[in-house]
Amino acid sequence: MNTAIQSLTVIAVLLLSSCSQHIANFSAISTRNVSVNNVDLTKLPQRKVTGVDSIYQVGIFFTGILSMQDAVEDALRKGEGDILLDASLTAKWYYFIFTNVFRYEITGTVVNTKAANP
Amino acid sequence: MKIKLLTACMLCFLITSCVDKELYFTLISTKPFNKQNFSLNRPIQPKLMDLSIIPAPPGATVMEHSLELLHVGCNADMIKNATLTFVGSELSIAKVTTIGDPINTFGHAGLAVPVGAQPYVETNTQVEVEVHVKTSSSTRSGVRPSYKIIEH
Repeated sequence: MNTAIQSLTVIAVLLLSSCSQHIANFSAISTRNVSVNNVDLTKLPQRKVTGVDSIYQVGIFFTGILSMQDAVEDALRKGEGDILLDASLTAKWYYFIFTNVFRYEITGTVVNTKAANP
Repeated sequence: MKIKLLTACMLCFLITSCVDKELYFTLISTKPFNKQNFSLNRPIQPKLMDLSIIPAPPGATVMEHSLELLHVGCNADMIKNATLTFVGSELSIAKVTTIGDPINTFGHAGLAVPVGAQPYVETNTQVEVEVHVKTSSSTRSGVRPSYKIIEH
């Protein structure tokens, strides 16, 4: 009985596991058009956000293509800005029984340089 | 029949995951830059040094290393209009190519070619750096990458 429970626990842990991998740290990154001249970024309003891009795998089928660019775009959209500062990009995998999730997460501070040049 | 279908699907996945992936960023940097007086109108005319003498930063990933080469090689602290091309699958990047316009937000000029280093011809604005890595993951595991500079 104990062996069966132990085996089931090991199988459950293996099937419901996840892992993550650090991709890169950026001091600045953007996908938007930025045109600034002599702006103090430290004085602009800042928002800490996490941008995400996820795809799902069901069996052998994938729901899309994973993209770092989309994760950055998501962070800029959430932070309503155009530059992401001090960002950290991580790839994550979550394994479920027949459904897996692959995800890029980028966390950083969004600034809106258009606020300086309205 | 089911095995044939499964094999075909797996082959399709492997092929699609190994094609080049191209990312475009209007700005990208891994270095400290001038936040107090930030300006993008400070292009530099880089004089590339021999990138093979630049050591890989400790613990850096392939992507960080590729950008580091552009930063250090050109004395740049930011890359404008950067295109990063990855060759390989998500889990095993074989090569990263970075193309972009290096700028120095502090207004410093491009680096002079250091004495003793292999000089390269001065480029215009765009610089392309290729980093080849022979590992099974995107983090190097003791294999020294090789470098190639392509002039524009």
